[in-house]
Amino acid sequence: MSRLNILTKGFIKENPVLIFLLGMCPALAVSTQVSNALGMGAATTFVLLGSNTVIALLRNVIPNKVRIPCYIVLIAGFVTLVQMFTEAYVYTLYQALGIFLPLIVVNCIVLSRAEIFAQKNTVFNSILDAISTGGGFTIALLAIASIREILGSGTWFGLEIPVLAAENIPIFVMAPGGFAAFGIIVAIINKVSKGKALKKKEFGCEGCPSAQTCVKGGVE
Amino acid sequence: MDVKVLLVIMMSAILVNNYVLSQFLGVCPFLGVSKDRKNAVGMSVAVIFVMLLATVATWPIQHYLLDRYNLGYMQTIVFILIIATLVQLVEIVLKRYSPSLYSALGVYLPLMATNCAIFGVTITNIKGEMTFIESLVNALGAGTGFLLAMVVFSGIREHTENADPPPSFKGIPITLFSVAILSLAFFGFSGVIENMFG
Amino acid sequence: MPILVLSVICLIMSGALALTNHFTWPVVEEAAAERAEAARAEMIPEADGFILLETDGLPKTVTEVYNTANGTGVIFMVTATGGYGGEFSLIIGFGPDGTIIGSNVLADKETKGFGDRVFAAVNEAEAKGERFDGVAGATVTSKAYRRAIEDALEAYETVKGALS
Repeated sequence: MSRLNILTKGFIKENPVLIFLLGMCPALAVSTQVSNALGMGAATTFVLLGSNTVIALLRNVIPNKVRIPCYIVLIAGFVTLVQMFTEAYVYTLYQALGIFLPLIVVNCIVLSRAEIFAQKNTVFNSILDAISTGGGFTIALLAIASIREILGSGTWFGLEIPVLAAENIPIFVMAPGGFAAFGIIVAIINKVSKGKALKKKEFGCEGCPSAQTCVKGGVE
Repeated sequence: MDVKVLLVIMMSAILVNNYVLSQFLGVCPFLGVSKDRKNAVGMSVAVIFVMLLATVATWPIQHYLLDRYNLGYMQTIVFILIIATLVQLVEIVLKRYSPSLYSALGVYLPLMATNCAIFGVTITNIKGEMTFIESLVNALGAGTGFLLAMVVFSGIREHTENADPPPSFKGIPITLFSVAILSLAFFGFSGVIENMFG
Repeated sequence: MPILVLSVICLIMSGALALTNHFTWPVVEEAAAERAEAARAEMIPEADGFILLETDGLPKTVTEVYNTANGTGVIFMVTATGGYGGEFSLIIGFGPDGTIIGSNVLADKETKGFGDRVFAAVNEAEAKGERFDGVAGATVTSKAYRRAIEDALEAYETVKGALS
């Protein structure tokens, strides 16, 4: 795989959220506002960069048998670093993301990149992969958040949109609207790609790259 | 101990703040496993079980270890390791002492370590500054809410599977729209609970 | 051997976190203090400074009492308990004549939306000088809020003599 390909694939073609349907919990939970979506995207990208780099660096040191616990510790470490920095310097974001900031640790996108990519590739390629995956995650969050914020609050990035601001549909910023907005986007992707883009035709553990990780991690 | 407070915590965790339908925790296993009712129930029982155990393990550690020695920043690492270890232990114990229970729940256990609902419960207990008993009730409520959402939705899915939506909506989009409507239904509980125990 | 690698990784990571925390924690605390100070200044804009009062015998929900340097009012920090999601912190301001001039929520762990509605209703009732009786559909939160205000009133009676 060429480096350019590694760097670009995650954004659209292999988008972790929109195409692989991973990391749906944060994608739905923090997408009430575009600014929160951007913050969550940045936080997750930072964790991905950290974990991918270190795991690629240590790929010959970490014994296969304990690799999952090692990855989890490393990922949790980087998540905590992000928590500390946001609490100290971007407190409004820290409040807005709330519990979903520590929950990056169980975001299956991060663990699956470690298992699928970083443990088999060079540090440089793993960094490219982290940028690409993190970027794709951010794009997906921005797409969902745009629908929800524009329809739900009549604003985009806090800027008022003339007609919609007076005629908003608050249900879109609440929980049901999250599921609906995500459904709309997947339906649009289906329409545009004539049903070919989606890697998973159904929800289930089969298509999830971390399902194997979970199962393997448990059985040893 | 105020029973009313516990009842409110329990009912709001099940209905108003339902983990899947209003907090977006555990969406992946919810959508993945709700296709089949038998699996849905098995998975949910395992979730309730691990949520309770995780609460029993993490609450004292937070209050008697992390808080006491100002190690609050170690919360994420410590909690995730506890949950991962706990899941492994439960699996080993069940395998040895209760093969029947193992055959029922065993397959779901490895999926628990990265289930955000479980991690979410342990963190919410601490963030909400709940007492140990309140935390246990909250964990039980969250797990029961997961079970309820799973069972209800597996029933709905049997119908959407046979429905004939426009081609672009087949499969995943129509499932998501069904969840949206179910979530809307749960939304109606929000005013009820508090008045129930007024 | 595998366990050794895992332990070393745990140790190094913990060390890195402890080090980072050493640098970020003072910033976090300073920012929190600044936010509290800003909230107090917003409550009584005429005040030219706040002095922390050390008083015994206050209701235990009242965490801090601030007097104003120029006698334009008193501020109570109250933790309201028994709400829906555990606790929330309130800032309650009293004018020099002993009437409540306002109340605000600092850290809110209540369910979003409901809590906000209650807080809006309380502030509205206060503005009209009415007694706040609760918001339909949010009884528990309303009660917690009312108890907090009652505690603040009790605390005001206690510290009244020490003012001025």
